[in-house]
Amino acid sequence: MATFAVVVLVLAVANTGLLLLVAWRRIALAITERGKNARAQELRPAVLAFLDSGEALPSGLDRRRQEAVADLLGDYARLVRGPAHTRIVDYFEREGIVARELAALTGGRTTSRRAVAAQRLGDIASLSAVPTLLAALLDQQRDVRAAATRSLGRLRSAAAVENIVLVLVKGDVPAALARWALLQIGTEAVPRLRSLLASDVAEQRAAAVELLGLLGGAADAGSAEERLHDSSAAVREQAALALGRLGSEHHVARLLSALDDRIPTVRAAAASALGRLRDPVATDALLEHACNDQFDVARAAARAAVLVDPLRAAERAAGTGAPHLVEAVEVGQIR
Amino acid sequence: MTETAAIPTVLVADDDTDVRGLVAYRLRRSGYQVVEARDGEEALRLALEHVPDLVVIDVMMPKLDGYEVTRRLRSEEATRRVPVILLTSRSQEADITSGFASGADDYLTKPFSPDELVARVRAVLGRR
Repeated sequence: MATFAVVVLVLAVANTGLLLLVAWRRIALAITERGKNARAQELRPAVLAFLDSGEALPSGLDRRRQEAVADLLGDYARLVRGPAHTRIVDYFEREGIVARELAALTGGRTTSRRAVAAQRLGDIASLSAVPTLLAALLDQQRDVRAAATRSLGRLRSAAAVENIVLVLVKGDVPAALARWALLQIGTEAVPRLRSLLASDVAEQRAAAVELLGLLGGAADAGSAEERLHDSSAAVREQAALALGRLGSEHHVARLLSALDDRIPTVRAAAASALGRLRDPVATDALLEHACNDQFDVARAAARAAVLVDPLRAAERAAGTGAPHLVEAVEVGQIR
Repeated sequence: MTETAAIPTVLVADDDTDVRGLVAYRLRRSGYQVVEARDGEEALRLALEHVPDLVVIDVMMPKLDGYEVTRRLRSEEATRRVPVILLTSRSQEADITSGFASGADDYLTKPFSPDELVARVRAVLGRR
């Protein structure tokens, strides 16, 4: 009984100690946060004046205030461009912060330190970080590679296109993040994407033609059309989708041929593209596939047929009762 | 309109302190009188109270988003003709048409150049 009482007492004391520790930790964090906010509020006018006209930042600041200035400038680096952004980059380079983060990215022992360094270098947006960020795409840790990809996108570095496509097709970084980064680079990525169309690796050709469809112009439609003959179905599928965005009535005949591709995903992509081009020449073929092809192809063809010729699609739906066509016509009427 | 007609009043609405502070600072330095709001509801209330010459408003805000504030400003007699500039992030660029549909006059994409912001403000005020 006495032993039980001692155990209860020890547990109660330990529990109380733990609660006090948690409470103390919360209070300490709140005090720290309040101090940071106060310093940010105190220094924001000086930082804004620096961004606006290059007025000198206060000198002789203690370490915490120096950190507050760096934090504020880091936040503003994400928000501004033009001369204000140039001033921020100059500040970080002059203060040795870019060099410190570059060293952390190459030599940081923990994944989190390297990933944070990669992220910060993107926020600071100093172009001098590009070579190190490119090397970080080969880091053993996915978090570091992802942070480097994001930062290269933020830096809009055309030199990073091939490397980002490479990590995209290898699955080394989240696909959505890699695509986002390439889209951030924008039209400057187009020449490098064009050269990737000749890659020996089918996944690279597929990614290149997909992104060309998003970033390229009418001049790239011919290249996309050529890829409809590719040996890889994934490339033919992406080429058809790209033609839907970049193409014109000149590409309808080739897309109609792709409607007879032996791979269903290619046929579905060709049907979607024909729907986007809205050339009535495609109506008969689309209605035929909407009624008789496999599930995904029939659904894509039905939707496309409604876009190209809603009246004929409605007549055919009423006459045949083809489920995908009926559904597409109903959805079209709702819209 | 405000009584000090010589100094145009701009309402700046953004829940992000950094953005709001930057826009307000730059506009004040350029000679405008600035009223600041931290969310959509406050923006609407201050707009009806001050009837500014221009509103610069973030799309994504708590309580009421920038589109809804713009629509409501357009539905009120006092603020119907007050020009609106929307602040959007790059990822919201696809929604710019929604901004114009709600009645906005112009938009600015983040990250933005403070100089460009002032140029847009001048241009929109000059069109009135």
